[in-house]
Amino acid sequence: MPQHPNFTTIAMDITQWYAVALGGLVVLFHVSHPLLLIMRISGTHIASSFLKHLYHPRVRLYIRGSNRYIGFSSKTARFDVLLVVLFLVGNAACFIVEVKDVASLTKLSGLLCIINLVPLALGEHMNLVASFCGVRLSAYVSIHEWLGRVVMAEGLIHSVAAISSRHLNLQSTLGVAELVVSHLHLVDS
Amino acid sequence: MRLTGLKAAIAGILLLLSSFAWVRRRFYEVFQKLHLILAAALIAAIYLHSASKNIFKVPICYLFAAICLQISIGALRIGRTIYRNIKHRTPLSLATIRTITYKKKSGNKTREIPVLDAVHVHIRLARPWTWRAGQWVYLSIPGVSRTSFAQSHPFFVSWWYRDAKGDAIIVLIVEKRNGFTKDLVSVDPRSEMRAIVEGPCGRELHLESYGTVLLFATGIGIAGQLPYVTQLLEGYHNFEVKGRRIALFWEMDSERKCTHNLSEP
Repeated sequence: MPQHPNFTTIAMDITQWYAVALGGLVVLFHVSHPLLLIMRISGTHIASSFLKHLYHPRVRLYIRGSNRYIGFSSKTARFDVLLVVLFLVGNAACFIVEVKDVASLTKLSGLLCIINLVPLALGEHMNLVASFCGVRLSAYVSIHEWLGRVVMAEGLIHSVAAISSRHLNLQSTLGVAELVVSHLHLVDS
Repeated sequence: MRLTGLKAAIAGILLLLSSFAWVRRRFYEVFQKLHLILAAALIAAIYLHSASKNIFKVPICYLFAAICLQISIGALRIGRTIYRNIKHRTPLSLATIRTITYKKKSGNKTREIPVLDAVHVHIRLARPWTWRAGQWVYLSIPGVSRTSFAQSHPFFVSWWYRDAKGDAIIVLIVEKRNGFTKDLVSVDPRSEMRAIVEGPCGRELHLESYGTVLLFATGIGIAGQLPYVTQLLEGYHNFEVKGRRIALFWEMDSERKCTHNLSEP
């Protein structure tokens, strides 16, 4: 059976699927206010249980005996945590599927880092964006922070993989600088 | 390739270092500006670092999307601010600082005690909007101090009125903290200053259909609850609100502090 000539051009690799999924998630998050209104008005069982068990309950991920919260603010809802977990799972899935050797790791981590920069750029004036979209500011902040963390981690993976894949010329100052940089990176994150 | 990668790494590290909670809390104003500059630097460095420069091909198209988002949000914000503050044949927004006075009755005499740690800011708007509860604005007053032209801070709109000339005026209650508000409180009252108002932002909570409304506030938080009280009472007189009872719980440090930010209705 002859294959359709356009078939090969349509085929996407995993990072493109990931980018599409991430874009969908970001758009969904930003239009969640009107969606929720529709849900409240519809009053179906699924909608009300979604609101009751996922959207409104707050989670408290804190270290016992202290008032420090792990990764999220005290006002984070289950729904926001779920979004972050989905995002992390998406990133991990890309790594699991795509990575075969150091070269592919370098390429993938660099690419994912750039893809995650797109929703990160939405945090520029997040107070205004969150208020305009009717999204909780605390959720917006924690998602922005998680995006930033993952971008930094992927940048780190990218630079470490790039350094380790090529022969390091320690005599050159540049090589030394790169080593220092990578160490700094390790210390900070 | 290596050098550009190094630049991207440096931009990334600076961005990471400047985003720590410790830095953010202590040097918020610097952090806020620096964060945008470093983000732009990071994107530029990644652009230089990437092998292909075609903005419609894979690595760069994502960067292009990020830049477009940043620029469009920034442009929308600037456009909205210009729209709010400039209107043909209308004077620009002006802010007046008024000292809050606490009227204390002792016998027949009423003593007026000025409140030291909060002021009312009355802003005559160039382009008013239909005012609702739960709205806040970004306020920037360039004349307050040397660096205040670059600062804009969010404040709740506590109430609004029309003056003798019929201009719409919004009132913000500003508590004295560090930085901008500290300078604002020490400014000579009754002097008019050019103000830049950005907004309104925030969504209203619809409380019309509830029988009893409980409102809680701590300290200056009352600034955000007052409009709900006003609006519910107004709606009650116009038969739009079902509420029978409003309970406002206001917690504060001392009676002197409470000194009635509400003194002007």
